[in-house]
Amino acid sequence: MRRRSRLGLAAGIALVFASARAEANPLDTFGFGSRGTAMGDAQAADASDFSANYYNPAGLVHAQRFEIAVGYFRAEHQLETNGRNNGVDPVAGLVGGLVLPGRVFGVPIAFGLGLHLPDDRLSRVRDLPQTQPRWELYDNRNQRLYLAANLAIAPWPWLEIGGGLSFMASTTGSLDITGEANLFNASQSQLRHQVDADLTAVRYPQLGARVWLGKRAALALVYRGQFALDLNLSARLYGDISHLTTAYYALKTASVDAFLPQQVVLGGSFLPIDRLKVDIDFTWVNWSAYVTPVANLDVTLAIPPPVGGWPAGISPPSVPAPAQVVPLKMSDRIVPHVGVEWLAYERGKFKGFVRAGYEYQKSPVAPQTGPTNYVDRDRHTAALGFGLRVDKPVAILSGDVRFDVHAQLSVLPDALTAKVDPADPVGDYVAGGLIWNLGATMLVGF
Amino acid sequence: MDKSARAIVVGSLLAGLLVRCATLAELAHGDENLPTAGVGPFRKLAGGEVRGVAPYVLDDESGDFREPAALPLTSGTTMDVALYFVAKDASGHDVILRTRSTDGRTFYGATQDFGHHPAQVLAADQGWEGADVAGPSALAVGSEVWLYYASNGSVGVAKSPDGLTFTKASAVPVLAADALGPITGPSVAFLPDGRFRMLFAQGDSIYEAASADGVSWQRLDADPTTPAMDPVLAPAPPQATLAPGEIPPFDTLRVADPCLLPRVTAAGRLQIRVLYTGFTAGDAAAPASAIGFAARYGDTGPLVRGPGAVYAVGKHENAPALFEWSLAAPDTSSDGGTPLVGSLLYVGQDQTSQGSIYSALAAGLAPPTATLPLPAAYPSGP
Repeated sequence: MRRRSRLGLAAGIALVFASARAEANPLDTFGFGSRGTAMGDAQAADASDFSANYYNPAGLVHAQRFEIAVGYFRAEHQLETNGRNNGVDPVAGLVGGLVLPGRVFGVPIAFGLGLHLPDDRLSRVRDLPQTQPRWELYDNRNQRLYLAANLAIAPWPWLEIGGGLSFMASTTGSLDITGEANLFNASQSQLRHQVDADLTAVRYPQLGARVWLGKRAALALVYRGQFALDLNLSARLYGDISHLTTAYYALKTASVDAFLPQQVVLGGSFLPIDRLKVDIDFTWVNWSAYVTPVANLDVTLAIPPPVGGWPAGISPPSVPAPAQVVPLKMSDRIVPHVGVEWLAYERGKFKGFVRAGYEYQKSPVAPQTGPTNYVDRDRHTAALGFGLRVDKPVAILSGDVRFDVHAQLSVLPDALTAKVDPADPVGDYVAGGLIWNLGATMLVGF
Repeated sequence: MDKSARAIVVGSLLAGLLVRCATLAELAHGDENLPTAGVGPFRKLAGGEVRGVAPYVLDDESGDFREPAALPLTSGTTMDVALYFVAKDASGHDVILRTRSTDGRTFYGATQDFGHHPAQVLAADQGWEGADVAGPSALAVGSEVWLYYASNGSVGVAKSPDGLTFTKASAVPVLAADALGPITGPSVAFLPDGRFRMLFAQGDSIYEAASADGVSWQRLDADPTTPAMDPVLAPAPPQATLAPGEIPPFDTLRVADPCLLPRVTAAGRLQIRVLYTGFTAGDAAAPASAIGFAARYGDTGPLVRGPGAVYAVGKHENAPALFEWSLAAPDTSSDGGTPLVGSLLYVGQDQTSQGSIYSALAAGLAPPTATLPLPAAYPSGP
């Protein structure tokens, strides 16, 4: 046991303080692990398995044995404007993690790792004009890898404390193009491109505490820090234009690709009767700190006219006027979550669970009646899940094996966006839709 | 569990993670079928999207094609569209021709459609008309096609059972020039309640008229509180100073060539959309121009202009016409790959041949991020 504790502690310290590259966080939207997702993500005072790496790191210390979990989920969007699907990409990938409990000087501690590894991409950056409609909370922000490393300790039997870091990556890059552009025959242009991009690590903290009020109730408080994924790109073009003149074009753009607001979760978990667990969370989300995801552009363009002026039919481009950024106004929200778990079946080494959950997030985005189009709608999310737990399924396994599945449906009721300006290029629209999330998780306790 | 079993489990998981890291991402989506007012901004059609030289769809140096008007042949549920436009005939007079396309881009009688020519459907032959007819505006009225046109500063109408053979409806214009000057560029459309509405250019501004039957027209005053007949759109006042990020007006000299596009928005509001040509003060002989967008909610009143040009290529683009489509399902025919919703802008703009400049019909696409599939075959007739 002592050897395992040292191993866990060392691994935890290494992961927390090393500048490892990782990212986050689709879990706010879709949950982490099938059990938590099926229970409406009301897990702050309940999670004690690998999912505590997200819901409340303090819960890790309640694990009874080394656990490793792996699963998969896929969330399909059917988000529509004016009755047509906007094709928002699905979010899908592996979820998993581990919990390594132990003791240091007799005090229970645990180290945990949580991971969501997307199918398609580790991260995605998009920089869209502020007037272009986009599903602000679903289009780009959830397309990223999540990794969290946490430590937890139980100084007294009634108190558990945990904390750790989640990791993100911000993006910087440059594009250089030099050579000769042939205005009259583009295929004869000789251009050289050089791309240099870098992902730099960004970390944000998460802390949690859980207080046991006897064996049938617990309260929890969780804090998750905010982060902003910066996207800084520069491009430079310099070359000869058909031996007529030269051109120099330089562009620098700085924007925030994804912003996760800080959150505070107050949760409770109760056992009103032996076979029924009820979990309730309230999550305060500091959406009002949201950073407008519009690029600040710095453009330089120098194309001196050729001797004798420009040929007929050719006119030099002009520097585009910088966009006047319209701030995105968002409001803080308190998101209620509720979940229930019923021990529906128990015989020998087998236990069967039925779970259900609900959460509601009122859209934090202000009505988009002006030139911007950050589309969002209120979201009602209902979930259902089943779990099977088998204690000591085989002789060589002293722990248990758990299989959990979930189905989650989010309904975003249709609502109208009516533009004030009749000459708005987007015009009025009705937006709404559905999000389906299906998944399964298997956990093995050793 | 013994050490070897645990190592197998953990090793398998790590291997799985590494395999997933090695996959390549697909192209990102999320911007399909976005809501739009359908009126730009437009980008020029690119090579590969048209047969011939992009962005031109109809190009004839001697014909000097200009002033297009689009008539959807299936209410925009397919890409079938007829185009009426002005061309010079062999005697040098302006006449109105018709052609047709099944993909909005490949027109019967285009330059590469050897041996075919757009059909002439209208020429000046009435007493009130001068030598030329211009400014066509085609409208499907029941089973007929009505073609409004400008001639000698007034507006006439001709009717056709097939869109090819027209009979002029009366021996007098349906809207005559008055003290405000000659009328050009009429554009006629139905309001959702079935009334006719016309916009036209007069002087340096755009005015409006209404009709119940499409033949008897009454002018509408955009601001009845003033004694004068007010236009729905006048040139933008020049701005000496601009706020940061503010786009300077492009239509300070004159506004003309309205293209009237009423619709009911998703909010159930009547929106009068208008594309128009805006001319910039400057070169008096050939002032720069661009295509603008203005609109209003409701039946009457002045138009509010959009923040900038929706199509500006620096080639004296003018006289916009619009073809909007809304396909029920992805087209799996030869035109597969067309966006479900989109619009094509047709304009007259400068084309150059061996040093001479003439007008040809070019096309632009909205949404500008969309890509059109390879063009269809030429239609068998106009």
